[in-house]
Amino acid sequence: MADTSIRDSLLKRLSSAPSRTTEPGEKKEVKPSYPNLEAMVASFGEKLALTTGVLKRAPGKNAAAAVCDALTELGAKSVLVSSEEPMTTLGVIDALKQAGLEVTAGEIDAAAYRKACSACDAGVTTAAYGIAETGTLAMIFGEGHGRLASLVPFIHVAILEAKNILPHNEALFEKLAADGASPSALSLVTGPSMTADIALTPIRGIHGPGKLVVVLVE
Amino acid sequence: MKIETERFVEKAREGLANESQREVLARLPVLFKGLRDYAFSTLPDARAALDTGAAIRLDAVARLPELLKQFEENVTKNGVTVLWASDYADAKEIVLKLAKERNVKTVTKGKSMLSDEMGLNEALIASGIDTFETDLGEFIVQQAKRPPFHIVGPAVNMPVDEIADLFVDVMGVERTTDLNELNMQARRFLREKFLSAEMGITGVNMAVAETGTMVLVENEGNIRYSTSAPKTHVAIMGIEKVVPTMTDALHMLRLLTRSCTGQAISSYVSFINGPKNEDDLDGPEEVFLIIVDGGRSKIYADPEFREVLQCIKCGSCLNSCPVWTKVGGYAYGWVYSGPIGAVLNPLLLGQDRTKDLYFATSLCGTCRSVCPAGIDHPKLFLKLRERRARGDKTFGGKKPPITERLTMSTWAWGLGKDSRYRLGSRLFRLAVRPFVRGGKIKTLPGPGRGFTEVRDLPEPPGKTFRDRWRDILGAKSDG
Repeated sequence: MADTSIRDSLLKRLSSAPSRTTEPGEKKEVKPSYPNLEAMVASFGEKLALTTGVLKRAPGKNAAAAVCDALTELGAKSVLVSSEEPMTTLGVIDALKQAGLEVTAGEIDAAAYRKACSACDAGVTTAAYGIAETGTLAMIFGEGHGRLASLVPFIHVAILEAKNILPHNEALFEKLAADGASPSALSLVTGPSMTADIALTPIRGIHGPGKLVVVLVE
Repeated sequence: MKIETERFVEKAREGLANESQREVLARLPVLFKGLRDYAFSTLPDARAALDTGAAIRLDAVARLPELLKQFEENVTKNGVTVLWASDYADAKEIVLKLAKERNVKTVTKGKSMLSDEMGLNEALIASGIDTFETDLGEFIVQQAKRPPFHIVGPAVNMPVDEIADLFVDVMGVERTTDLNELNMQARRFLREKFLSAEMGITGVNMAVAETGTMVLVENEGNIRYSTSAPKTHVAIMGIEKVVPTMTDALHMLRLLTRSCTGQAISSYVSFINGPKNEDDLDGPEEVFLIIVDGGRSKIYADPEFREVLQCIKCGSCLNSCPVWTKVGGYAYGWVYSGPIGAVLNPLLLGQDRTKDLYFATSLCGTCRSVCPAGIDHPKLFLKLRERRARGDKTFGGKKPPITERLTMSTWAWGLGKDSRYRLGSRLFRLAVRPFVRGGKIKTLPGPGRGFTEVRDLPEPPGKTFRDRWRDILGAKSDG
């Protein structure tokens, strides 16, 4: 399989093709701009609402209660909480347990984690950044933050710190480059999983979550 | 996938006669155009955004060999194994080999037009590997054994009743026509497949040369599943998918989702750099990328057709096309339909067997006006027609039949001089008069037969335009 002859002959063919006849036009930027954080939060919430996603704003000390409320309102009984630092510092795990939810959290092995993803009604994770332009969450996967926890359960509650709202995706990738971050994968999440493949009728929750709540920690 | 491009006329007639399809086609363009136009109106300058899209794609295609090398270098650095395939057969062989070496029993697949081109599912299934399309629309057409009706909504034309019956057959579920429940039946059925599959196969929407990142765009979450749950992720892409920088990719993303479904962004956009890092809780242990030529380098070598490689497969040219929105997607007889199908199918399959596709266009240019990638479809239709008339063999063309050539050269000769034109039009009117039935000419014999097979001509009026013009001028000068 390490045969490079196909590659080499292809690249050679492409390189020997006549060069371009039309010069490309100028590339212009069409990024939005926002005067301040409040304007970004407003845009974030408005765009999220268009997707049926719900924004709950909470001061730091109320964040855990907001997560609890969101889950009980949606009727979740069991919940998988990703093992990230804010879950402990914000007191999320304790609050959920006190509210009588069945909680899977902490350091668990891959097999137990996968099982919990399928068994739980809800997944609670953080979102590293929010994008004001489109009401988007940037989920950066890595240690403690698996991909399936925000995908498999029908409900996804994401905790986002207000200071991590960025104007647009360009700012996100600039930030990641500046931080030297090299995640194996990241997903931009905008609202619940959606399809309109049957009879052009929009349905939420076809493969991923049908409900998305963002708790914005201020 | 079965190639039925020769049956365009027949299939178009079937489409026109299909009442439920007509109902869908009456709604779809209005809906998609409204959503698209609104989504573009939210950009600070929509025209500049489209022009920039065209510039990015033109630049990317122009620098293709250099960008492919750069992308390969970076994606390899990120831990992805890159494999090259010169044609569909090569690519299928590579996938099958990877699957067999890993003893793969179940594959979940994300939507990929390229995989439809090469008939990947059929190949995997023939080798005993359970292969499931997981985009809901693709899942439905795979199970119903149909071609995609639309690039973005492959099954939008199917009546709910048919889907309900199909799900009973395929999943053994209780029959329902409740839309929410139908969707949930698919969710439950495919969920098991996602979690048991050993391999996930996806396409690639954009390959970012600068960073070695694969960008995958979707709404359902099936691609996130296929790139997260199985141990092995295999991505396949055509050579044209590369873009120079992340900034370019993010701009194209704004245009792609707006053009596709009228969304400012889709529900999920995944940026895949490579296999899971050691500390990652989940994600594939190995990622392969198969870069497929599949006829693209031949298109690239032809400066007149190269721009078709700028296509980002958004489907907006279909939604706006006066032909596609009447005859529907099946008429085009292969993977691609609508204006882009009328160019790509001939270039990938051969001009001769796809002749009706590039003639069945009104040249109105709506496709060009909505294209976010700067493709001038009408120009390409005309180029294909011209190549055919010349009997150019580059893309599997053949000289037109002798009758057609004679008709055309006589036509050209007749139009070459005023006196010949006058005489010709007089003779033509006399010659066709016996074939008028009820004010229309429905069939002509001889060289006119092919022309009138799919067109009606109006009865020639009593006087020619020139006669009337002369009469009017005469009357004026008399007065």
